[in-house]
Amino acid sequence: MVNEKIVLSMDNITKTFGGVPAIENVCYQLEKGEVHALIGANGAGKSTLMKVMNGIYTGYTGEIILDGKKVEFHNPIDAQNAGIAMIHQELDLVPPMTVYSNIYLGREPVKNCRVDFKKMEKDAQKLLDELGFKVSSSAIVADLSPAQQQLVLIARCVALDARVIVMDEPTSSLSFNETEELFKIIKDLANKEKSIIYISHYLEEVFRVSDRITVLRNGKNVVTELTENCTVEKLVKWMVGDIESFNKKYIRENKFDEICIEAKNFTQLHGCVEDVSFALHKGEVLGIAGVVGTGRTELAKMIIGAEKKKSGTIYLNGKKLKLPNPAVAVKNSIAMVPEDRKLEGLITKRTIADNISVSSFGRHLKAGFIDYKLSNESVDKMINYMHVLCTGRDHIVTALSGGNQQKVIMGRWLNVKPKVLILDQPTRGVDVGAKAEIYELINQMAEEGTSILLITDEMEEMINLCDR
Amino acid sequence: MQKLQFIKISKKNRAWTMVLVLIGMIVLSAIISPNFRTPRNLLNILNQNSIYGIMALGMGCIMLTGSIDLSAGSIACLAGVLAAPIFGKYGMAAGFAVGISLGFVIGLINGLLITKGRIAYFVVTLGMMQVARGIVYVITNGVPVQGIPTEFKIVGMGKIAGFFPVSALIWLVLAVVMALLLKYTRFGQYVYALGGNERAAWLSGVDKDLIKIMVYAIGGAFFALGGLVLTLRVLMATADACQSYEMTAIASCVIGGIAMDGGQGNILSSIIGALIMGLVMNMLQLMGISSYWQQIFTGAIIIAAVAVDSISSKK
Repeated sequence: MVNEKIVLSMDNITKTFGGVPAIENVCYQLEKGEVHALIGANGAGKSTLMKVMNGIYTGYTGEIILDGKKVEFHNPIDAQNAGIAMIHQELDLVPPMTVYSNIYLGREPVKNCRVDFKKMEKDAQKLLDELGFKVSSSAIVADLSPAQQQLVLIARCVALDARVIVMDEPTSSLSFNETEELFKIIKDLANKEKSIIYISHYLEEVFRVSDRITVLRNGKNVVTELTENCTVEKLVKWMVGDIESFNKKYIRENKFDEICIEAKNFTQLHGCVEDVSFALHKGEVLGIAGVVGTGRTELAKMIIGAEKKKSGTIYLNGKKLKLPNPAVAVKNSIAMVPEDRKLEGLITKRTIADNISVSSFGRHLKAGFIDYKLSNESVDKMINYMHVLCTGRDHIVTALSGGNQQKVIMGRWLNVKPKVLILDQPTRGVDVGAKAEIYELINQMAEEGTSILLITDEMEEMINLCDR
Repeated sequence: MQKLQFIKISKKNRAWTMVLVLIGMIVLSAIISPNFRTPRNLLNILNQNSIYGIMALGMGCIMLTGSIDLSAGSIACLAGVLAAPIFGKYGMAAGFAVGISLGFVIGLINGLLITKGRIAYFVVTLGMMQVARGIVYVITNGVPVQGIPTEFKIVGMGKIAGFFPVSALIWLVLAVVMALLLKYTRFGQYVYALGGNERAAWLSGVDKDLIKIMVYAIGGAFFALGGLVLTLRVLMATADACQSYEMTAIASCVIGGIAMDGGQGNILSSIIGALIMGLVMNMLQLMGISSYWQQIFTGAIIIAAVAVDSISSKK
C-alpha cells in the first residue's frame, strides 16, 4: 500500500567489525519527499549505516532496496549513480576551484574534446537560481562562507539528479540565520520530491525540519516515529536510555574576589576581532556568546598566541604576560581546548595515554627522564575519573567516539590543572550523554579554582554552566 | 571502532612480522647459497649495513615527525671530505668532532629553514642535497682526499675479539640510545606527538619549531657519523661517496614500520629494516647480479613497503 511511496528501504542491515556488530538488524525506510531524521548518540551506528548505504562499507548482511529493486553498492560512485548523494560534515569541495567546477566535478560537459566551461557556468547558475541560492556560479569556493559552501554541495546533489540526499550534521558550521535558511531549502527540496536523510545531534533542529525520526542506540533500532508524536524527553530517553543529569543547572559556591586573568584591547591582525577586553575571576566560568564568524575562536587563539594579533595584553594575577605561542601560554598555565577536535585537538594515531600526558610530561620526570609508572598512573586515574569508554590507556584515540575523544582532550588539561582554560565549543558533535559528563567536568574544574572561558553556540549550555 | 583496533594490533606487530621475514630470508638464503651460510658472510652483512643503519637512526627520528631529509647522503659525504684531512693531522677524536658538528650544523640550518623560513621540508632538503654535494666538489675538485692513517681503519673495518665488527657495535649501541631517548624523554615523546598531529601538539604546548630543528640537527649528526665511518673504512673521502644513501636509510625505516607520515614506529625496527635491505643486496651479489640493479631494488622496496603499509591499514 505505502510501498509506492517508499524510495529506499534498508532491511535488517548488520555490519560487523572484527566480530563485533557496529549495527545489528537495523531497518530504515525512506519515503518520497520525506525528511527523515536519523538520530542517536555517538557510536549508535548512524554513520555506519550511512556508509553501508553509500557503498563505503561493503560486506554487510541485509538488503538495500531502491525503488523496489535490490541493490548493492561497491563504492560511493555506484551509490551516486543510483541517485544517492551524501553531504558530509566536512564540506568536501575543492576550495581553489569555482562553484561551477565543483558542481560538475567528475561530470564536466565536453565539447570538441575540450571542457565546455561556458556551458558549465551557465547551467550551474541556472540551477542555483532555480533553487533560489544566492551564490554566483563563477565564484571561487574558498571565498564563500561555510553556509554558501553548503548550498553549493546541495546544488551538486541536485545536479547529480539525486533522489536521496544524506545530510550529516549540516548545521554544525552554520550560524542561526543560516540554519533557518537551510531549513527552508530542505523543505523546498522535499516538496520537489527529493527524500532527505537528516543526521543531527541537535534535537531542536530535528523537530523543526523532519517528518519522521528514527532513533538508533548501540547499533540497534530503538524506534521510528512521526515527528509530531515526539517530545524532547522521549527522544533523549530513546537515545541514551536515561535522562538523569540532563538540563542540570550548576551552581558553585566560589566567591569571585580574585581576578585571575585579564585581557585588554585585543584586536586581530587582518580580522574581525576589535578591541575586546574582559576579566576572569578565579574559579569562574565566563561564557562568550555570538554566532559563528563573530571572532570568538579567533579571540581564544589570540589569547594563547596561536593567532596573530595587532594589539592586546594579558595580565595573569596582575602580572603582564607576553604569549608569542601556545608553548609559552601552557608554561604560564593558560590552555585551550580547540573547536576542531580532529584537526587541532587530538594527536591522532597515538594512544589515549600519549594524548593525555603530552602536556604533563614535565611533572613526571625523574632525573630528566619520563617516569612512565607515574605518568601512566595519572593517565589511568583520568580515564576512570572521566569514564572514558575504552579498552585501556593504550587504545588508539581515533578509535574512540567523539564524546570520549573530547573527554581525553579535557583530561589532558585536567591533568595539568591550568589556571585558565579556554573551551571552544567543547560539546560540538558530542552526544547528549557525554555532554552531561563534560558539563560535570567543567563544573568540577571551576570548583577547583580553574578559570574557564567557555565559547559555545548552545544557549542552554551557556545558561546552565556560566557564572556570567 | 573494531576495525581501528585491528590496525593497532597489526601495527604493533609490524616489527615482529619483519623479524620473522628477516629470519625467513636468512634461512632461505642459506638454503640457496652455500657462500651465504658462512658466518663470515653474515657478519659481513652486519658490517656493510652499519653505515646505512646509523644513517637510518637519524632518518627515523625525522620520519617520526612526519618529514624526511633528502640531504642525508650529501651531508655524510661532506662530513667525510672535511674530516679526512683532520683525521690525518689531528687524530681520530678531532676528526669525529669536526665531522659530526658539521652534520649537526647543516641539520640545524635545514631545521631553521623549514620552521622559521616556512619552506616545505621537501624543498629545503632537496636544495641542501645539491648545495652540500656541490661544496664537496668545490673542495675536492673531484679528487679523493687521502692521507688518513691506516690504523684508523679499526673503526670502519675492525673487529672486536676478532669477529664482531666495530662499526656494527657503534650502530647497535646508538640505536639503543636513540630508542631510550625517544621513549623516556619529553623530547622523544614530543617527536611522536608532532608526527601524530602537529597542530594539536602545538596547541597543547609543544614547542614544535624547537623540536623540529633539534630533530634535523640530530639527524644531520647521524648522517655525518655514517659518512665518517665510511671514510675510515676506505681510508679516503671521495666526492661521489654516499650517493643516494638517503634512499636506503628511508627504505630501512619504512620496512621497519616507521610510518611515512610520522607518529608511529619504533626506531629499533630500523635495524631490522636495514638488515633486510642488506640481505636483499647481499643475495643479489652472491647470485652474481650486477650492482646496477641495486638502485632499482632499493626504489622498488621503498614503494612496496609503503604500499603494503597503506593497503594493510585500509583493510
